[in-house]
Formats: sequence, structure tokens, C-alpha cells
Amino acid sequence: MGSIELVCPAGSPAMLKAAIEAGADSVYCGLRDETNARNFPGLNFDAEELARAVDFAHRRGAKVLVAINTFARAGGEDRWRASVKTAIRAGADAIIAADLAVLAHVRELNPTLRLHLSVQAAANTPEAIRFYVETFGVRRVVVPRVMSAPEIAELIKESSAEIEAFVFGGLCVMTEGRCALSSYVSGQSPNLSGVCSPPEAVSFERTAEGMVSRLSGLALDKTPSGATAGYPTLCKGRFAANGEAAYLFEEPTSLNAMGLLARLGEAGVTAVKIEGRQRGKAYVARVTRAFRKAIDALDRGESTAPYEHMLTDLAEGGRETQGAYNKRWR
Amino acid sequence: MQFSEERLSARFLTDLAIVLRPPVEILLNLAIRRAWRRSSSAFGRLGRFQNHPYLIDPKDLPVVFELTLSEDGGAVRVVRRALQPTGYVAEISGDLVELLALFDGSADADATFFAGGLTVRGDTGAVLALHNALEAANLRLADLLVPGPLAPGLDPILQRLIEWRRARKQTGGEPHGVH
Repeated sequence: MGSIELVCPAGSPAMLKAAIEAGADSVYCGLRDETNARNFPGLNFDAEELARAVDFAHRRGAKVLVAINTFARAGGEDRWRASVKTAIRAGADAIIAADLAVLAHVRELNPTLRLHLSVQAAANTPEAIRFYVETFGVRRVVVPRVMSAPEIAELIKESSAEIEAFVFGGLCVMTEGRCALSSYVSGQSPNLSGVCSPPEAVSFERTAEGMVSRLSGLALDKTPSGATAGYPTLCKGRFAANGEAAYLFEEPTSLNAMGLLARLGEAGVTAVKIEGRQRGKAYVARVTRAFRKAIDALDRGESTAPYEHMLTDLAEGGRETQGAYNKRWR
Repeated sequence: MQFSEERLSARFLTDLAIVLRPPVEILLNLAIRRAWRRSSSAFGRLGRFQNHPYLIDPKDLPVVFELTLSEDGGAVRVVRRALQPTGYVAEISGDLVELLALFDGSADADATFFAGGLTVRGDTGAVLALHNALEAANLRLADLLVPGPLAPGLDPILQRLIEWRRARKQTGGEPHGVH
């Protein structure tokens, strides 16, 4: 492992294998139900697959972090309890959780298992982190993608937990864990159902002029022929206001903070995370390989510049951004 | 004159493909069976989309393929494009090389789709489930294109051929077939 831990997505056993073979230090994954925030058709692991995946990863010196990071539903808590039990039985190296009840349940069942605070908990102050550390023994916090690089540096100075930051992939512009936009249109949200813009509510229509992307029948964007489109989410839709149609919240772009790895490392970030459990093995292999090279280059005292534009074609809308890390609009 | 020659040629190719249908179907069904034997739980990832037919439409071939999978196996049928019936849970169309790269997991489905290299119709959830089931099945190009024991040895060569064709298209060597 290099100076910064590389944490990569594994939506399936095939992705997990691809990520580890491409150089991931850790992989994160979820079980096949609403207890994780990527509850898509055909994705994720059953109990047996998870146990085999942990064994495969450990034999290659990699860690498996299991995301049980949605918020337990009143009356349906047993499903979250069952997921915790399955992850512990499989030998997971850590559980990633956001819900206070899930965090408490993990701690009760296993006092020594590493707990990572999910980005869904949106902990972005030293006080919030201190609460999770003191109450549940949380060892690592995944910080929200709305924080700037200087803010993360300040946070680390006062934090007793390790900090993990997203550096590549889909970009949530809302405070994570508190966004319900998707549920207004589709009835499902990341926090409760594990999906933002569930695929069964998404449709694409190609016309002579281009492609119209819809969510529950509502047109969210229209992309001209030849241009690269994005997945339709309300926060990245194009809306008409004052007689002009524009991306009012955020354009369909993807995060790529490879150019900030050195700054994040100097600030004391322990681990960097790649988003995209829903993408597949081709995606995870390419992204992991590129970030492995970049981290190894940093450790040799070299620049990451040669690797920074290797992944542009994988970005949503074909465009990349450093997101809030370089935020100037607050 | 040129127009009728093109039509004749298209008709000849279609007729040829239909004549070759039995051996092609046998080959593809063997490939599905091999993948199923290797990872018998993979097709179960289709969930509620098991036993629902998908239409796979390589734009540059004169025929389309009807694919039905379940946790007990699956089947492929070659169908004349002009006769294609309706009632598929989803339709996926694109150039043959793009579809092959997606089937063996060497291309990123999202990037290909959003760049215009694929068209999907029908239930987007069904398309996603199929993608995830095929990824889990670890299909290889050679499974689809070469029978039996020759497959493993030929896979790297086929991979490189497909990569070369895709790269040629992306660098403007040829116009895109899907709009």
C-alpha cells in the first residue's frame, strides 16, 4: 500500500476481482437489498459471494469494507440487523454505516470491528466527528463531496478519526444523506431505498435531434446528436427559469480530483475513494489502474500530471470537474 | 441502379444469415451453457427479468438476436430483422463490436451509452440487470465466437481485434453506426 489508501467500488464479485487485480488497497461493496446505497437490479453480493470475496481479497492483501449505509426503516429494522450479521460472518474488515441505530448495532455485536462513517452521515465538522468517535468508536469518516480542500485540511487538524475523501466518479452536489430530490419524482431516494433516480423510472428517447432523458416520464434533459449525455438526476437536470433553460444546480459532470491527490495527502487524508459500484469491471479496472499509478508516482516524488486525463471518456457528460474541492462560489 | 444493388446485397446477406441460423444458434446456445456452467448463479441476477426475452440488435448485421436467460440457463434465437416481433422487455442496439465488448465486459456500458454508441428501449432496469448478470457470468469473446476447447487460447487475440476496431471507430476511422 502507498502513502494514501486506494478504496475502489465493487458492485459484483467480477468488479471486486478486477479492482484488486488493478491495484486497489481496499474495495467496498454491499448486499443485495435496500441496506446499501447502490440497490440496483442485478448488483451486489449475497452472503456466500461476500464470504468468498473476503477470502479472495485477504489472500491478495486487500481489505473489504461493507456498506450498510442507508437509514433503517421503522418496522423493517431486521433487514439492517441481518446485513450487519452477514458482513461480520463473512469476515469484513470494516462496516460503512450512517444510521445511528446501525452504528450502535454493529458496536453491540462486535466491539472491535472497524466502523467507517458513511458519506451519507454528512459529518463535516470536528464536533460531529467527535460525537461518532466517542459514541460508537468510529475509526474513519468519509467526508461529503460538498467540502473544499482547505475545509478538509482544517477538519483533519481537529479530527481524531481517519479521513477518506472521494476523488473520482459521480458527483453529488447536495449534502449527502439529506437529499430527497429523487423521491419527489420517483418515490425512492438514496437514503431509504438505496437509489437515486431508480433505473426502472428512467427512460431515454432518441430523436432526430438528439436524446431526451426522462425520470418518471418527466424530461430532465435533451442532448443534441453527437454530444455526450448524462444519467438523469433532478440535481443535474436542465430547467427553464427567467425564460432561459440551464443547469440550475449542477451540470452533468463527474468528479476527477487526481490533480489534488498531493494536496489531499499533505493535508493528512488517509484514503481516497472511487465512486461507481454500478459501473462494471471495465470501469473499475481502468480507474483503479490510473489512480494506482498516480499514487505510486506521488510516493516516488513525481507528478500525477501524466495520468490526469486518462479517464475523461468515462466521465458523465464527457466532462470532469474538481467539484467543491476548488469551490469558489460559496 | 446502385440502390437496387445495395438492396440485393442486403437481401442476400439476410438470406445467408438465415440459412446459417441453425449452426449460429447452436454456437451461441453452447456459449450461454458454458457461461452458465461456469457461474450458475450469475443469470439469477436478472431477478424478475428472468425468462423475459431481450432483443439484441447489431446494427451492422442483417439479423437480430433474441436472448432469454434464467437461473436455469438460457437461449438465443436468430431472427430476421424485418420480421422482428414485439414484446421484448428491452431492446439494445449498437454496432457489433460495441455489443461484443459489452458482453465480455471489456467496455464500460455507461460511457458507451452516453457517448451515443448504444441505444436502449424498454425497461432501463432490465437493461441494467442484464448488464450485471453478464458481468457476473464472465463471458469471454471466444465463448461467443469460437466453439469449445479452442476458446481460451483465442480469447486474447479476439480481445485485441475488438479493441482495435473500437479504437478505429473512436478516432474517426469510421462514422458511428448509431444515431
